[in-house]
Amino acid sequence: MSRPGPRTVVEVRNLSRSFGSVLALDDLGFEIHRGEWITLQGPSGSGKTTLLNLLAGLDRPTSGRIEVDGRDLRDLRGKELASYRSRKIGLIFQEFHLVTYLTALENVLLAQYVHSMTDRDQAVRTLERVGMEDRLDHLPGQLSGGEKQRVCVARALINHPPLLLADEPTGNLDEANEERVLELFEELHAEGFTLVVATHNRKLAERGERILLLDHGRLVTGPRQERSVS
Amino acid sequence: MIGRLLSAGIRHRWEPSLLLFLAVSAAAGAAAATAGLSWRIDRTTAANLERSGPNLVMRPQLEGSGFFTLRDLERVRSLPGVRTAVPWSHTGNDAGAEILLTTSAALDLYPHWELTGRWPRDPDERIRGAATTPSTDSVGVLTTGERRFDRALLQNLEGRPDVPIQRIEVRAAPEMLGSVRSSLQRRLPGAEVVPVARVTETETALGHRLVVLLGSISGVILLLALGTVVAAGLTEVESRRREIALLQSLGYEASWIRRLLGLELGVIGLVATVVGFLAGELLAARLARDLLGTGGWDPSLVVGVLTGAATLFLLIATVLITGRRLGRLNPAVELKNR
Repeated sequence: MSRPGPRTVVEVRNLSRSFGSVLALDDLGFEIHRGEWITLQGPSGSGKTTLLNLLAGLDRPTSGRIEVDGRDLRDLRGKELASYRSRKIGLIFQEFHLVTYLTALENVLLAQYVHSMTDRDQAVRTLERVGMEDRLDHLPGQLSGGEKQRVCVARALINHPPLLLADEPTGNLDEANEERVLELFEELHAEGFTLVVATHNRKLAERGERILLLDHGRLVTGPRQERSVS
Repeated sequence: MIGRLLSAGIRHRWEPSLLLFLAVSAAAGAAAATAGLSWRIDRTTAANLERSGPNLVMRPQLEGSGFFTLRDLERVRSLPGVRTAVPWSHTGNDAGAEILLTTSAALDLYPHWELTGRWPRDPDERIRGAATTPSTDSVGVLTTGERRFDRALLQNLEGRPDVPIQRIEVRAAPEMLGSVRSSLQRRLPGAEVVPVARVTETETALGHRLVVLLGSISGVILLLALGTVVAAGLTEVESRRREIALLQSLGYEASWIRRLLGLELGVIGLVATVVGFLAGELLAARLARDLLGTGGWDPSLVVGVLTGAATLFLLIATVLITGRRLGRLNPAVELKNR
């Protein structure tokens, strides 16, 4: 087996995940390089969210392994696993999952507070960066879908994680907000963030450098199970 | 951040928070009411039993000197556990009435005795029992409800070392009765010390029954309260599954989340305990007034500590049980797109 190169952020080998008799992921193997933008595509139930959950350390594989920055996620327990989630991963959800009783700024600070400190200026700058400087003190209920998603992106960015995982980030957005989020992802990619985005959105998928196409839990395209998009 | 999470969270989830508050308040109130009523019953019973008079009687043994002196009386009074010691001496009769000598401590030993006038000061002064023939030389009239005393003439024994004491009646702390009796026998070797069976048996039986009754009631109330508070705590966790999963996905450890929930529960529990304690004390005071004819607003530190301990037990049990539920929560499932 070849050793991952210095540019490799994620290495997945023989990864399977089953839920009872249902095989959600079947013997996946791929690598993700630093600064890459990977798109996960496939029909509903093909295993995209399951793969993201495994990469995020929210779930554990039935067999196989995932290495992120050289650490096998199977070895992580309790404190180490929590540290992995807070330092290595930024999560962006289709349903935003903002804490409804905290303001936009406080939702971002909440992600920062996991390190037992908050830097209000930095959180404000991050929200400014996603165009939310006028909505700092708004509760999620006072924000549009696009604005919520931008807060979600700011929350994912605040700890400068090397790996951003997004699950249908434009799934709940109208066209204008979708475009704004697409631009944001392009900016992040240009800045060198590694992106893994699960989406049904063709426009978003086409912005990625590589597509991993899943069908019934298996990677299905190309001799390297990957397809380059020009 | 923690403060904001707590205050905004409790305000936002006011319904489960209110449920939890009511459950803890009810538990604290029940504990305070039971403990408060128990304390008042205990105090009232003790006060009532005090009125029963002495619980030990000392007599000189025949083979000894045949009487006690005022110095003996002082030695009895100085013994720990002795609340009251009253000497008695019979010196003869006057116009058919028995002449008894004692001290004003008799009025403490028999609080239901009523004295009109004043207690005699000089050796030749006396008070008369209510059933004796009125005379001009008595300085007061004593009503006891007991035939023997109501037909007697009483004189002051204080400051009269020449008068032999034939009997000393002692009121000892009920819980120290045995040790007081032994000590008396050691200090005054020629004395016979006999418990007054009627009084001591009543004290023992009443005390035992009260402990069993109130202990059983408290146990049942605590069990019911435990069920209610734990159910409210679990409802709280259920209503926050996604929020907890989000915290996990952000990298918060399960122990941190447990502490956060415990802190929330602690804040709600503290306010609820104070409110419950005050409500329970009010109820106990009301019940004591209606049932015992005594009491009133008189909160006790012991009752407060007992209430606090009971609710602390409930809250710790709730944190442990909800913590187990938290440990089984799968963030991947909770955060799944719906």
